[in-house]
Formats: sequence, C-alpha cells, structure tokens
Amino acid sequence: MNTMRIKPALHYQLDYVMWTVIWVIGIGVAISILAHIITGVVVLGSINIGGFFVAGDSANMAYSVGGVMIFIAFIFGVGGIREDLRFFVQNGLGRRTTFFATLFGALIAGAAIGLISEVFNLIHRAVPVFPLTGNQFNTGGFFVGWLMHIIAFTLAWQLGAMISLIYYRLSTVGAVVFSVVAGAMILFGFGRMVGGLITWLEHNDAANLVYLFDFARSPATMLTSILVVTAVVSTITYLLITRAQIHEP
Amino acid sequence: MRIELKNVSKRFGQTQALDSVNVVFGEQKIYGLLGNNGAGKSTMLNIITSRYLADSGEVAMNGQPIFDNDACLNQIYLLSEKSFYPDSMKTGEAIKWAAIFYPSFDRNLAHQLAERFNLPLKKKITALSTGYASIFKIVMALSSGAPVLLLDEPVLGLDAGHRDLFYKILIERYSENPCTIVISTHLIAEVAGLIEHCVIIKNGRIVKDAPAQDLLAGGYTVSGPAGLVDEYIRGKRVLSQSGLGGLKTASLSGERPNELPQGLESGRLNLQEYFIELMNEEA
Repeated sequence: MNTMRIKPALHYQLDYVMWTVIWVIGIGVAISILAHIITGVVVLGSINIGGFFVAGDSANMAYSVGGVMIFIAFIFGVGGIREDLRFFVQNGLGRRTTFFATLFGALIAGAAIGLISEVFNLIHRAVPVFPLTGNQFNTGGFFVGWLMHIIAFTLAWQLGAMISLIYYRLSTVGAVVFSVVAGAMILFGFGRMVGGLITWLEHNDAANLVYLFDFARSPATMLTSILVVTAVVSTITYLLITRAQIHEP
Repeated sequence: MRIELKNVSKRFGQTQALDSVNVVFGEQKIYGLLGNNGAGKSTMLNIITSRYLADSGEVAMNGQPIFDNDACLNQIYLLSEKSFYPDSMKTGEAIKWAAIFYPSFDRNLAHQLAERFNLPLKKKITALSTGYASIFKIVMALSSGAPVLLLDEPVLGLDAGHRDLFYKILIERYSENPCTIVISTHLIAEVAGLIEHCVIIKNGRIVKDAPAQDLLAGGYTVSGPAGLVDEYIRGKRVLSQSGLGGLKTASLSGERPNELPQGLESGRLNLQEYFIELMNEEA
C-alpha cells in the first residue's frame, strides 16, 4: 500500500514559508506606516507594482498585505516547487507528498496571512485616521474576506507551481517561446489584459461570466468561482508533479 | 530489504538507457554496480528512487511498488552525483532536516563523521568544493540509517586519504549495522575488496549478475619470466597482459590449473581486468 509522510514535509514547508511571511509583513507594515506619515505631508500619486498598489492618495492611503502576499505566494510557487520536489525526493519522500505538503502549506500560510490582513482591515475600520490596509476582499465581511485570502493565496501558489512545472517539461525551443510569451505578458501588464478581457466580455453579452469574478456584486459567487479555478489548477499541478522527471538544477 | 526490478526500460530521446532490466538487490550484501559511462547505472538508481519514471516495468521493495511510496522511499538513501539540496541550505541545516525526514537518521554520527572528515557545518552546500560536496553526501548517506544505501560515484573528487577513510567507515558501518549497499563506481580496483556481488551493465542491459567470487573464479593470472609466460599462454584465451623488464603477467580465462610449469606462478584474477575484458568482449 502506498503511504505518505506529510508531517515532516509540511514542517519543512511552513518553516520555509513562515519566516518569509513574517519578514514581508514586517516590512509591509513598516512601509505602510512610513508612507502614511509621508502622505500626511505630501500627496502621492498611485504607484502600481504588479497589479497591487503600494500607495494611493493622501485621503485613502492603503497597503494591501493580503495582495502583496498573494504575489509572494505566486513567487513561492514558481521558485519553490522544483527545489522542494528535489529536496523531498532526496530525503525519501514522494511526489504526492510534495504536492500535498505544498497545498496544505499554502492553505495554512494563506489562513495566517488572511487573518492578519483582516485584522488590519478591522483596525482600519475602527480607526479611519490610521488606515493600514486596503482590503479588496472585505466587501463580504470578515469571514468571507478571510476565506477569500486563503483561496487566493493557494491559487496563486498552485498557479506559480503549475507554470514552473510546465516550463520544466518544455524543450529548449518551447522554453524560449514560453519565456517570450511570459515576458510579453508582464510587459503589457496582466491588469490591462484582464481589463481588456472583461470589457470585451461585457461588450459581447458575456456579463454572466464577468459576474462570476466580480467580488463587489457577489462575494459568495466569486468565492465559489475562484475555488473551482483553484481546484482545476491544483489538479493540473498534481498531474505535472507525479509525471515530472527530477533532474539536477 | 529486497529491491527487485522487473523488465524495466527507459529511453531518453534516441538513447535506450535501460533495456528490459531484471535485477534483484537482496538483503545485507554489498553490490558493485559496474559499467562504462552512459551504461545506465545512474538511470537505474534514479528509477529505483522515483526520480526518473520508467517507461515500462516494475520496481518493488519486498514486493511493494516503490514508486511514490514514502514507506519504501524512506528505507533508501541515494547518494547521487548531483546535488538535490536547496541553494541556500547549509550543511548543518541539511543534517537537521534529514533527522526529521529519516526516522533512523543518526545526528550524532553525522556530526562525528563531519568532524572526522573536517566537513564545515556552517557552509552552504553549493559553496563546497567537489571533494567536500562528496564528503557531505557521504556523511548524509552513512548517517541516514536507511537499510538500503545506493552510492553513485561516492568518492568523486576525493583525495586518497579521504577515499581510504570513507572505505574504512563504510566497512565499520556495514559490520555494525549490516544493510544493502549498492556501489556504482568507475574505480573498480578500489572497491573490488568490498564487493560481494557484481551487477555489470552495458548499453542498458545487464551482462553479468553474479557473486564476485564466481566471476573471478572464471579466470586466473600467470606471472613469471616473459618467455615462459608467452609460451604458456599460447593458444589460451588471454584477457590482458603486461610486462616489466623481463617479467610478465597475463590474465587468462578459464579454470585455474593445479600445476604450472616450473618458474611460473598463478594468482587470482583482478576484478578490474575482468571488467575491462568483459566490456571488450561484448563490443
């Protein structure tokens, strides 16, 4: 019978993730406090980095811990999965164990980060003169917002892992094409692409599809939609992990 | 622990790395997995440990499929040529984590061995020289407590002193705690004294799978004055010959004779010579 030893793998995952999370949150909070102090004097324009905003106007200075962490989760997925796979296999663990340790690691880390982000949001509401975070998932309330963070964090991680594993399987030519396409996407901006897609969908009577991912209109619907996307991406990641040849870096 | 490969094949592009390989690594024995470069030795070890996926065939431990089975994989430690540790990890951290992953990992032994080999514990694994990278892997393998040790080129880049120390410690560990050890190496002469059973692989196929003693019983050496040796070996199957001054030594195939012409001495066949001849023969 095939068995899995998830506990030690999860221990490693959380140890690796949590320290990064603590650092990022610490730096994030420090930056937001500093930025808030500065915006008390100077009016800043919006600064956009990778789809999340660092600073808004002086009236609504915000720093999204959750948003940053979702981006970090993507980086964890892209950069960590192959290293984890090699390390776990070297230490007598299998591919399924690697997948589930990664998945559970993302869920636990997402839960912790979501909680921190939501607490910041509560502080923001209670003390409007001292806004520490702008929480894009807050429309559905504390619990839905927290769940949204967990799922979005997990999705970002699994998506990163999936992209990394696809890249891992490509031939040299495929890897070059993939890199060019990915580079072009980054260059033109995901946000603009998604925005364009939404506009296109709206103009083509596909409003229902837009509705699925519109958090402001229906948090529960979007939660379900993202959950389904996460399940699909995770399944693809699982299939890729169980079929990967594990080479040296 | 018994590892069995049944009809295992693996192809990389146009290269047939393993071709219907059938082999059994039994309990508490030291195996020599011998073959030229590209023969398929590392591929076999990588398939046993689930790093590579076999195109066909089965790999089992005590009858249980090994692939993706943590209960089996945890009983095997593969010391491979390539490093599978994270770039930022230090040697001491790797020891700490191995003790968490391998239930039988002996952390004290790892520290003792690190001291005997002068392995720094606060250095990044990727920053180690080739020799110290091998030492690090040796320390990890010998401390793992795994009942199956697969050692792929374990002494790569090691100086003579460290190689000697490694063989001594390997024998110590084996006598204290008998386990299955598979040594894949090019340095056949160095491991000849350790190997109990030989698995010789060529172009992805097993060409010999027998106890070392049985293999070496199939030949013998003759040495003495060059003229006498030349006369004696005429018409016989010569595996190799070498001379120095007026003396000559020849390795011959066949059963060792009870008596030899006066002036000649017979000896045991050398595993390396046997291997070289076997490789030439099959070519």
